[in-house]
Amino acid sequence: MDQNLRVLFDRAVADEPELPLVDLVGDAVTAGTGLRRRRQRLVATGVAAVIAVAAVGAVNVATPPQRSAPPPTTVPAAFGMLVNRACQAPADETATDAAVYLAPEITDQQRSAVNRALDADPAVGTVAYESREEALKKFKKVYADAPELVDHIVPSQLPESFRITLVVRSRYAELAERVKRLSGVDEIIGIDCPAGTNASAVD
Amino acid sequence: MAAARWGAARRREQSAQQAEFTAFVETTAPRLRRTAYLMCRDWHLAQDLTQTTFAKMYANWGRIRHTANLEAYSRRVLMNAVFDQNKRRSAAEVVLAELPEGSPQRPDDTTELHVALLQALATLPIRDQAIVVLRHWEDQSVEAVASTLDVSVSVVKMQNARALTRLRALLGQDFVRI
Repeated sequence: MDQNLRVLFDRAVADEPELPLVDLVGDAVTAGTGLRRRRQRLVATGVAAVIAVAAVGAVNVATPPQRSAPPPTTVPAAFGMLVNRACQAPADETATDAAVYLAPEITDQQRSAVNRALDADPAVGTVAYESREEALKKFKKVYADAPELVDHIVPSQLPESFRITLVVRSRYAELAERVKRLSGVDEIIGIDCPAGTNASAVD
Repeated sequence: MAAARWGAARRREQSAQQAEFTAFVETTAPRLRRTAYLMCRDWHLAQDLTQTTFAKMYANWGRIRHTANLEAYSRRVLMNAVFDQNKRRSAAEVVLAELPEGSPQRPDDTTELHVALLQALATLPIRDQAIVVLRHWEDQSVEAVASTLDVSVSVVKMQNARALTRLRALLGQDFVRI
């Protein structure tokens, strides 16, 4: 019986027309990418929502003079990821660099005060300001292969920051303590880069 | 950092993955399309179902490419596509007053037996058709069929026996002779 069935099935598929293999691959890639995009779009909407929520959250917690512990996943935390691939973030004792994210509602006065404090800090080597536009440019570079993700992001959703280098390793903890107390600072994230690499160089 | 690394690794692997996927499609497509044809008896539809299967697999390729048995996975995706298609078609057919062709009817002597077999197969419930095709054309073990269709081994055995009995009844003497 089984044998018969197999023979009959073979006969039934014997009149098969030509199968264009190349088209099959191409079409599957196109359609499959479409399916994946649709899924990623949902993720991107989720990311945008998280960013929106985090921004609102930052405004809310920044109102009282003393911030309690920062929420575990704020936008700046995610932006610690946007550094040179050779570097590790977040890093504590071993940090060679740091990103100081500024609160969304920071005033010009506060910003220059933070800048001055960083310039004067004994643990800080260099200080560079990164605007929201520059942050978006970096974000787009890192996620170049996921346009659905970046299409939904506008500069105002990204934090501005000071990118600093430390004079020596091992001074991050004391620096972070001082920087966190500055008004207008949202979060500081330590970055551990091997010698000769620039934490902000993403490609 | 983790995200950045992931992005870099992904870019590096993309071309390798593309090549892998092409090779997979080339080796699997003929068999998948024939299986689909036995399930739907229409080469164009079989082509569409095969394409749907590959598109779904491509969408998850990064995750599934190291799966131990990609062929088994492809059979599973294909059968789900067949069931989906069948569900949509049955929903559309409710409005038809006439019985669809292929209702139980003894084939006359001029009908070629393989044609009669496919007609008889079409009268079975879709999942029973899948069991017969996977077991007796794809030569899958009872266990493999059970995992492809997400049912227990005993369900496969029972429904397979039931399906064969019905096919024998429909095809009669000819079926035994061949």
